[in-house]
Amino acid sequence: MKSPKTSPQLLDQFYLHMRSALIETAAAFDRIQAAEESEAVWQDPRLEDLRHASRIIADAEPERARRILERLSVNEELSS
Amino acid sequence: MKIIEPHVHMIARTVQDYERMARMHTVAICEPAFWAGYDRTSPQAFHDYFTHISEFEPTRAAQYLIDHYCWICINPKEAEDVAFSREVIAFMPEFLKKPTVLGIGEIGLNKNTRNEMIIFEEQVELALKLNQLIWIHTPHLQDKLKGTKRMLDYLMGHGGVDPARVCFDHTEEHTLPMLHEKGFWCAMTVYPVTKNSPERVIDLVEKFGLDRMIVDASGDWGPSDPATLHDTLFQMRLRGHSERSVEQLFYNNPCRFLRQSGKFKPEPTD
Repeated sequence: MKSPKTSPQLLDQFYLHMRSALIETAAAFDRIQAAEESEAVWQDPRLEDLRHASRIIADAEPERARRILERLSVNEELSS
Repeated sequence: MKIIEPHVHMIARTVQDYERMARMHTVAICEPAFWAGYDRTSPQAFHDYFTHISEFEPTRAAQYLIDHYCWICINPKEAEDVAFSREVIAFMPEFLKKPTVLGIGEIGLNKNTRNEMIIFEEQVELALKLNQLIWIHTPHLQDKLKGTKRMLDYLMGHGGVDPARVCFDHTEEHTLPMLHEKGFWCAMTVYPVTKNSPERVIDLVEKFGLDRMIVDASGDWGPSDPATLHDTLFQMRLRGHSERSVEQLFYNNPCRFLRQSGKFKPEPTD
């Protein structure tokens, strides 16, 4: 079921939303860095996952949402 | 156009939500049994809960011309205590006979523990024994992928499960493809922050088509809103899709899945 809209039309429709989401994420990184004890969390794996996610957004491969969700998933066996 | 909300916890919502949904052309809703935000202290509390969603909520909904249906189960967040869970399972059959109870759900996994899996499997067996539909909760956030794979592997290896009678809920980009490929129904939940946005749901529809796809809002006691279902319908229109396709996704598809129960009354329009 293909999108009825063209890529340029979709860019026009979503550009401001994409811009906003990225700026909000950047501002949250700044907020965390500017606060007390930021050194303690800068290597937090959650932040590293988000840095990795930003590289996925910027690469040329499709299915970015799926790849980010997989990166954010736990993969160990059943816990007890 | 009429709309069906396949997943909403009305026990946690006000009559204003019924009124809003009615004004937005919602004609039928389904309430799976789930966690109340706290652990219940006795199996009898589940008996009271099942009575509430199978008897009282339909009368509340009817005041707004909405048909209310429900699903019965011991939910995965309270399934860690196996003995407790089995006491609940023991009285589920009496509720499954009621005219608005569509099947067993939302069963599934929460933290992907062995005890959760034991109770999931026992409820699947009960559903098969009593010829009930199954509605499955997939875990949240980082636990979703592993838990979904685990349940899928079990159901595919079982040999007696018809995927057309099972719906996996809360699917996203990393879990929907494997379920859809195997013939299961896939529900996508539009829920702020932790699940899908309206835009991502329509992305998935454009990629995987309309067949066996369902959308819900899963309104509950958390920061949710039944209107996100209607936001998604509007997003589908904004993206240029036909009214026929919109109606298939938001009305005819849930009709088709739910009518397999033999109790769901709304009929598809096509």
